[in-house]
Amino acid sequence: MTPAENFIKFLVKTIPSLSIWLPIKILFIIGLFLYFAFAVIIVRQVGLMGKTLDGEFNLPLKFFALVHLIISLGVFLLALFIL
Amino acid sequence: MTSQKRLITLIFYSCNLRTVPDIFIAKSESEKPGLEKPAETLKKELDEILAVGSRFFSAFVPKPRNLRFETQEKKEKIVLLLRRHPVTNVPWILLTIFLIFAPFFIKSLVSLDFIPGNYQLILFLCWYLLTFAFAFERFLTWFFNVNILTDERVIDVNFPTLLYREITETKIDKIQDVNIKTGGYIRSLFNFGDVLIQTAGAIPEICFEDVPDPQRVSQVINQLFYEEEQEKMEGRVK
Repeated sequence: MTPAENFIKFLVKTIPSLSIWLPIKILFIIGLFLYFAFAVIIVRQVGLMGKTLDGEFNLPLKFFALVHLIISLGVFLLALFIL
Repeated sequence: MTSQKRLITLIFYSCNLRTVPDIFIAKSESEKPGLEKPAETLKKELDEILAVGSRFFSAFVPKPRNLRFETQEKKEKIVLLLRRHPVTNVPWILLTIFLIFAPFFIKSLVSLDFIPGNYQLILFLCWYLLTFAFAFERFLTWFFNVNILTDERVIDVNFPTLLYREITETKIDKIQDVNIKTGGYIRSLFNFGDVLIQTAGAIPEICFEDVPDPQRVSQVINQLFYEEEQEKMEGRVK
């Protein structure tokens, strides 16, 4: 049997065992990682905005941005474990 | 025309000029409207215009407490803080409400049983994360895109995109003209519109978009302008 034939045989054996959900899982993980980066940018943005206009309401906004960052990290880790 | 005729015409006009009565006499600086008033009267008038105020979490905030902006000088006081009228937020609030309930509608219309439970959970969480991000971003844009009137300057703070800011400012005494632009059903109903401030500075125009009560905003700017002129006359310029 030639090496090419061996490779084809290997693919025929392996592909059916691969789940159709694998590419979706990869997409989810990449998407959630990018979302986490976006959440970091939001925290920085709130900081920049708060520096420009410093008022009473800045603290709750920073809190919301941080909670959003923590939740996005949580969802990313959850996706890594359960998918 | 010959030189003789020119000479006659010149003599004729020079004789007449002595006898022609004054048609218009320009008022002196102190006689201009508003400028003859003492500083205290001007301040009282400004307080009357700003009498109807609201809290910080609003679109028309006269003399906000515990608020400072980045380029504010030590003795500079904020007279008025403006944001877009709250009605301009209605479209994104409605869209957010729709996005909150959309998964339930979709579930009732289409069976999602072909998706495994763990994927459904992550999909559900992602949906609400995106919905929150959308609403939060819109709120931040509304809350921090402000127009500030101080006793010295007019400032327009804009955040057009993420991490990008644009601050436009001009001195009160450089203001040349203030125009109000209102119109349309919703703007008339809720009394909001644009205030266009033309300046003699490097930035030809500053626009306060969709601000509440543009008439009152224009009055405040005029009053601040008169105060500034008064300060100049009295030699109290900061």
